[in-house]
Amino acid sequence: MVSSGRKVLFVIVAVLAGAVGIAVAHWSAAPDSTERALVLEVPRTLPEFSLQDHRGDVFDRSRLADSWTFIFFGFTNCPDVCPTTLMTLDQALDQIGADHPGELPAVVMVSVDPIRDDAEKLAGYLPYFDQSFVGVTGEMPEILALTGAMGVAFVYTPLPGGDGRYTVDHTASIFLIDPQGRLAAIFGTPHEASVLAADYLRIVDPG
Amino acid sequence: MGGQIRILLIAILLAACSPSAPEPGPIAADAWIRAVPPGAGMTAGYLTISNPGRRDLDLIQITSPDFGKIEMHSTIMEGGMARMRREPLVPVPAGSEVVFSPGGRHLMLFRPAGPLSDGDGIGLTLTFAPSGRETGDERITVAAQAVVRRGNAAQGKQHH
Repeated sequence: MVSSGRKVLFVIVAVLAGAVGIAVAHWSAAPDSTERALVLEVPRTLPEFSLQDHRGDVFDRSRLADSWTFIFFGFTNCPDVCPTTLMTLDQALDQIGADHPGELPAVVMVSVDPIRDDAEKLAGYLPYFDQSFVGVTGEMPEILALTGAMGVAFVYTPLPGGDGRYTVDHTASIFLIDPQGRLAAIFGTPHEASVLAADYLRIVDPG
Repeated sequence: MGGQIRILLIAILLAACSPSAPEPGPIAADAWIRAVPPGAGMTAGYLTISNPGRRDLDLIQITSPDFGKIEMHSTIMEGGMARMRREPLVPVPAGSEVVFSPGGRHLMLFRPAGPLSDGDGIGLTLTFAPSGRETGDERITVAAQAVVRRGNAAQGKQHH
């Protein structure tokens, strides 16, 4: 009894410590260095995952290792938030590239609606916004590995009409992954191209 | 004496029932529709509706010959989550302006009749009813011309 009681207490303490750790990592960002981005003091290593990109190639953690990457979670049947965010990211890239062409980040949209968004669907969608944009989809457990590690939530919500249509409510933050494949910063909404570009350059080029 | 008062009352009533200036109707401006990839099947539209009249109105329907169906939706941010909700009607109170803009209230346009290219013109018909009388017969329809755009704002209103 005593030992199981202690075990429960230990688990509670461990969970609390973990939560505090995450909170500290989240909120200890230097607020004066960036305007909107929450910079993690200790970048968070992402778990292994195996997805596919819109060309049908494997998209796993190694694909994040070559450059800085903006990751956004969305879906192609999303009329407002997803295209708006993709256009904003496209504008941010234009602004970054104007003065720092060598520091352009990759942009990835991971689908939270893999049933409707296969690689072919993403291939007809992402490059429309920018030829460099990459769409990623795959099996739900693999998507959950990524969303879980980043604190992304998504919920399927039926649209009125009873005809089986649904939308996906989802976290609309933009995540910045460093060239070591670790979560480095989180950009909350609303997204503005100039803020994204300026904060990005402050993060990748401090000093 | 009594007859004079009666005539005066009738005159006042007539004046009240037939206002000399016609009630100004609602106005739709800056309408634009987001260009999307050909296979998208739906897109969003934005506009500003103003009601310079003295009566509260409800926008109850939008149609276009270029789309199978148009609904009014609102994106709501809750705890960092974007939630999309359908709005069966959008109130446009007297003297007010209602803005549909990216990341907020928007039109969801389903089943485009053809490809949507930057610069295309799309005709919209907006139907209003007096507030609270959506089941009645009185309807006000307003025609608007929307432009297909690739960006995040109507032309001339782009942020730099």
